[in-house]
Amino acid sequence: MTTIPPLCLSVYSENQVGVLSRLTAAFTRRNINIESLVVSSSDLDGVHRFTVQVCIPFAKAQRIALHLERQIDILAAEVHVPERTWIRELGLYRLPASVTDDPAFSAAIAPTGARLVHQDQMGVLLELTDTPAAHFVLQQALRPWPLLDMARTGALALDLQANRVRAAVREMLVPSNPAQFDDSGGAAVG
Amino acid sequence: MNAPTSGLLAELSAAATISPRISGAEAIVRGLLAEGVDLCFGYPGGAIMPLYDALFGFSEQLQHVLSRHEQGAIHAAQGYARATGRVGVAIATSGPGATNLVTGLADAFADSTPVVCIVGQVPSHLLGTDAFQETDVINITSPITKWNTQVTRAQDIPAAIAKAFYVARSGRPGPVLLDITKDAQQAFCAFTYQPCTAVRGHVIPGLPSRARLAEAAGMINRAHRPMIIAGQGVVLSGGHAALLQLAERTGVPVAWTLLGLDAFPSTHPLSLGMVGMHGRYAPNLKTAECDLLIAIGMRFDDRVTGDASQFAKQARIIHIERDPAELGKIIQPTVPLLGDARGVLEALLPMLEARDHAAWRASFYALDALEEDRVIQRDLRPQTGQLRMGEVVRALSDETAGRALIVTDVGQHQMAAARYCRFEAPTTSITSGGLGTMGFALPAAIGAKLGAPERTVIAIIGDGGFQMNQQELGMLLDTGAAVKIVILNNQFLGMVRQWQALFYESRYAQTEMRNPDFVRLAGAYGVPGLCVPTREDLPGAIAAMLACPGPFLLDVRVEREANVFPMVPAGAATASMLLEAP
Repeated sequence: MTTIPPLCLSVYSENQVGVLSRLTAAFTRRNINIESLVVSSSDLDGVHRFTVQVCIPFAKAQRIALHLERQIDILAAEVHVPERTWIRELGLYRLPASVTDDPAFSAAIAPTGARLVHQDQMGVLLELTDTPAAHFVLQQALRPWPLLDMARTGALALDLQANRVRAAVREMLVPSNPAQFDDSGGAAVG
Repeated sequence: MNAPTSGLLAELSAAATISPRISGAEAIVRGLLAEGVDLCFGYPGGAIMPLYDALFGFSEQLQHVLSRHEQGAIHAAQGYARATGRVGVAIATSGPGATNLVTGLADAFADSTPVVCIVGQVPSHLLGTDAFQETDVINITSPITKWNTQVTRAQDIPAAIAKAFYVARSGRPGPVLLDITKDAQQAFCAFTYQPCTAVRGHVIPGLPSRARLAEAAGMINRAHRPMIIAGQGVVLSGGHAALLQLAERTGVPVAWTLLGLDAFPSTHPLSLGMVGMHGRYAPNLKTAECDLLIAIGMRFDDRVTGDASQFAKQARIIHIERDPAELGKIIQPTVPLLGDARGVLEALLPMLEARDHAAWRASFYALDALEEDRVIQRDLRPQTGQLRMGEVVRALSDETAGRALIVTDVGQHQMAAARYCRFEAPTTSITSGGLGTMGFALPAAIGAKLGAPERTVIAIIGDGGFQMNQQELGMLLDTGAAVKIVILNNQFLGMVRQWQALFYESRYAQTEMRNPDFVRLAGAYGVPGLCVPTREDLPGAIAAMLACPGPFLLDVRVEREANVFPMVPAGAATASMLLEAP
């Protein structure tokens, strides 16, 4: 059982076959378990965004981010500082239709913020978009009733401050001249 | 590095206009030619047969050397790349052909060697069906390639070739693998070739900021006990002259890593020798005394640092490195300088003051004398007993004035060569450093010799390592490449035996080797040779080998249970280096 709180990395990549394999290999070779992984297209042209949630120290995650940026089809990677990161995850929960006959059910889910989004004779579908901790609370609240199925997306993370990495990815869409002094003052390492 | 040749490119493009549709296999060949490739190594098989058929038609423009095992092909391509600075090319079929490349890919990845491997794959409609000789080579090789991709359409081949060569040679070089399905090789496409000049996301660092450079220069100018450790980044960037100039101006003495053996002239007054587990005594101990360590194009490998928490912990550290992932990975630098070693050194030079550091340099001499007395005399000038590895490699080095290209395998002989050969010029050393691949030297030396036929190429190999890829004598049979092979034969896996002796109570588990007659074995491949059983036989045998116009093999019988010293015990601090067994 892990005692290190989870943190999230956002990884921006080309939409190419094999990127996921290289990304997960960076964690596998260090014997790090990925707690959740989300991938989708981003608002940047042709750029996909992975959100990886892992339970490792921040400094170690930063080393992995640098390792990931070494990959040809990975454009940039960043570790989100937990204190300034908005983390949400979508979950769907299916229960028997009969639960709606139980007044305790409505009372149990009301404080969790879960919404009843579908109902028929096959069952009811609850949806919750909230933190991983809130999903845990909901799962505890649903314990008195049989949970037929459940699916969660995994954590999505957005930085609440100006995102340096997003800006860097944007700049990559413009050809640069590599034979210059970097006097921008913004270089992280050099 | 070989860049696309514009004239040839224009010619090929013109040819493509006349005959616009060619097979994918021919597109591979034309792509290789456009990248300036005139020599490749490989081994045919079912899924790569269309490419071999196309190569048959271009044999005058593109020479193919047949290895006897795919591992030999990629090591030869590595040797070629490191001897020439160009991209090496290896070709193999799918399944076992591709998996036999894995060790070479890992080796090239560890040592930043630019190679492009082209492997066949089952037809695209059979992908994922466990078809004959189908392996998931993309997933197998992802962790050990700089980039890889599968190509399933003929029209995608030219762009894949162009990107492969660009990625292999640019930034920190490395291996690339292209997995091309058989149907893509057989299908037809219009051929136009555009060299790749950039890949977004693959950012090539320029130079650090002027402020950062000035900060580093100030540290160098103010240092009292500075030392340099030069690594392969100096070699890859062609920064030899800049390093020499910097050292001579500042008076800072220079040590080097195993892959930086030829970064600085061995006999220069400022040279300190190799650092690391079996390096020189003085520079290893002095890493714990220097006040400034300038690490140039090296990555603080554990064989260099020993216990990293103790390594140069009193010193301020300037780390010049082109791969941002290496900065701070093992040792946190005081001033990181991200960029190509040569470019950064040249940018620093105008900011540096002339210094001497004579007293600091003199402080190394007592330690050198101690090592000379306790280790070097015994290794180079033994009075009795069998030949020692050190005296053999020093004799080879002396006979070639430190200018031969020495290719070593892995083990005791490698450390003896690193310690006692003199490397007086750039590109005089090729070895398997990061991965430590036994079996590397013979095929790598063949590739090096074919790439640089004007050079004297000497492969120094242990008897264990030689037998890992001895079948590549077949490449010598085919090509007649004048590789000089020196087997330092102690009938043991010497380095493992040494550790067994020192740390496992001399329980020699499976390290004693019963060897074939290497001279007769070489003779079977048309390679003449001599056995060198005694010290008195050595000079004549070396002379005969160097005088022979073709390949030649020496089976040198060396002391069976000699150990390589000094030695930093694994995981210990460099300052605890041992001059002899405890």
